[in-house]
Amino acid sequence: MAKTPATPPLLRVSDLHRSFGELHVLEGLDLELRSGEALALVGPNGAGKSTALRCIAGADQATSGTVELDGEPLDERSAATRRDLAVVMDDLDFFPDLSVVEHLNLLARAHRVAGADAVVDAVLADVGLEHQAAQLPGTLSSGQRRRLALASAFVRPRRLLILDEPEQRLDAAGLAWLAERLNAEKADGLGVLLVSHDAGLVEAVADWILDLGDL
Amino acid sequence: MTTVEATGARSLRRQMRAWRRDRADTTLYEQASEAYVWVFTIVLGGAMAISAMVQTRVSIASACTTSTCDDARTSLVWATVAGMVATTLAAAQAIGPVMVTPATGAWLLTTPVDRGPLLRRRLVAAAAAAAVACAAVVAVTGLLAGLGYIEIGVLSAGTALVGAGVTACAAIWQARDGRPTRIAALLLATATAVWMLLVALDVEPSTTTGWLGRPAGWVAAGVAGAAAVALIVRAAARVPRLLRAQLVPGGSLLASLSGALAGLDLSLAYDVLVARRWRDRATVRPSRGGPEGLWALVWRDVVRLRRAPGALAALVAALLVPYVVLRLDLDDTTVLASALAAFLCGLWSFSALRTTGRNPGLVRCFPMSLAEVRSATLVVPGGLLLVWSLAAAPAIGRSLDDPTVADTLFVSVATGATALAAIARWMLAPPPDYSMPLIASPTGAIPTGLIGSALRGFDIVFLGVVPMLVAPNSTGALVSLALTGSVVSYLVARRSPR
Repeated sequence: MAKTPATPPLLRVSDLHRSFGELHVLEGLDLELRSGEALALVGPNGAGKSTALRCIAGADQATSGTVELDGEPLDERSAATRRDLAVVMDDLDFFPDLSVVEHLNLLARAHRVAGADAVVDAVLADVGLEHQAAQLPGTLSSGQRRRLALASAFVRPRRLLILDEPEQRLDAAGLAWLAERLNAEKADGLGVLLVSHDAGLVEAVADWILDLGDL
Repeated sequence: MTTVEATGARSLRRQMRAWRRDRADTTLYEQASEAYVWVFTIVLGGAMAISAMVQTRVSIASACTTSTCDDARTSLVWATVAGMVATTLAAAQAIGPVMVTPATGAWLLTTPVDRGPLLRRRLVAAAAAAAVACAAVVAVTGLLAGLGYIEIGVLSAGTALVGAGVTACAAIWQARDGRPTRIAALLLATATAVWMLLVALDVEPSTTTGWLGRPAGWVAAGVAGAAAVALIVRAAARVPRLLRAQLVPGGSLLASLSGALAGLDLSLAYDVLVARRWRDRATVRPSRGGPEGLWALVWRDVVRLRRAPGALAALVAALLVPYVVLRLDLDDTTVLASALAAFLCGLWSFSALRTTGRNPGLVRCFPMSLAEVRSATLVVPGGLLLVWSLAAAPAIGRSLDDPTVADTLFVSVATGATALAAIARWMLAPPPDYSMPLIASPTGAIPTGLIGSALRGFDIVFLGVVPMLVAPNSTGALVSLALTGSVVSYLVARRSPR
């Protein structure tokens, strides 16, 4: 279990269990994450990393256990939680008829981001999709779709970033950018919880590493 | 394993057939049993359908007592012919019409084998499928319109030949990426819609079908046949020159649609078509700005509508239905026909509801609840349906007995609300659940509720229309509104299965 003293945790997970029939994927997961820190869940395939992330993000329902954000039970149905939590997982798909820039613009405006157009332009440039702004998602490469998914988290207000294998389909330059970007997020006081198979990314970003294969 | 020397497409096919025979896992008896079930089902279902159509033909004939109704029926037959040819062209353009599966594209077309025999078979199959579809639809329309059986036969045969001919034509144009086919389909569809409008307004030019049973009809069918053969021969000479990139996308689309339809998952087939359409378009002129919060989602639907006015055109086409039904003196079916038309044509305005309905990850990005996001995606298309209801009110009102203004308005709005609820049910339908117990059938295991999934949407149309058929006034409309309102409220708030 990863714990640090001092400031109260942004995210606290206690005794999290998730079973599928007789299959116990998570058995009593505990973790804490503070603002400005990154925690990486690692482990072999089938260790329960993505399941843990899904339960924490509210995309899956834990069999038992609690997940708290700022000391309050995390309920992904509440608008407040949705504002604080930026989640990028494999189930993020896009509107087939909205362009790259329109997706980001829609999210920024839905979150009432001040100066939405400027923020969108900055994020587009940051993720390297400025030349694909008018493209529809169906024409993007898998790497570009991944960048758009990550951009969806960066274009909106957030306090906790939850990322499931964000390195997927990114090239070497993309990986370096991602590490830099996540460190910048930490520096801005955000919490980052990620699942990753990329040792380099984990080493570059994570303050804490929780190996679910060891549990 | 039998080994056949691979020297051409024919020998390759022979070799693949030999491999398949080697791994046959059913006996001839089992195959015959399955075939028997299929034949029995088709014969039984066909007999019931034909019986129902003949009875409907009699009902329509007895209801149609005026000359204006007779004229409308005849006009609609020709509109159906034009509409079927337009549909054939559109379908041919969407899938090729000559296409190969991605596997064939990757494994056979990359070899130096002669593509001619392989592709000519596909051309003939596409032309035959078009001919059968055209003949079937026109025959049913002719039957319902009260045409004589010889006239129906000649008209069906002629339309079938025209369908085969335009498919061959589309194959010739396939080398030009189907642009002429697309334009021809659009022009013909527009002409059909205009014709329907004239019928609805009772100002269409006079048409007859009596000549179809005379030598002139046979000559016309013969000319269509000769043209079809000439076009098919010409297309057959050209198809071997088609590029692989012009052949595989259609096969890929067809494979995706087949997969969706095999599970009777019509919503998935809709997703496939929508995704394909926008992928082909590739880029758009981005629209920026707009309101904030929940209204940002609503505003995107306005942008969508501006970008794809076809959805609006479909609703306008649906608006013709109540007026045409009135012309046919089928007053009692006006509400049902209107609700069905609004349901089927309105589907294309609700793509945002569908996208948010099947993507929990996308909904999670918004700072609103699932119900709020879904409700926002209903605002613009729901508003369109309301306008549609008001525009259909004169026709719907005339179909009621001594209606007050309130009766007309309530029944019209309830008809639109029925379509809205049916679309919401259709769009938010969960896919077939293969993790539940499966039912053994001669064609393999099928999930429970599979058949029901094909009826989704239609069940809500039935639910919403029945109160208005029982009580065609404000009371029936209010009951209908209460029922469909409950359905929409439930569907909007229902969480997607995890």
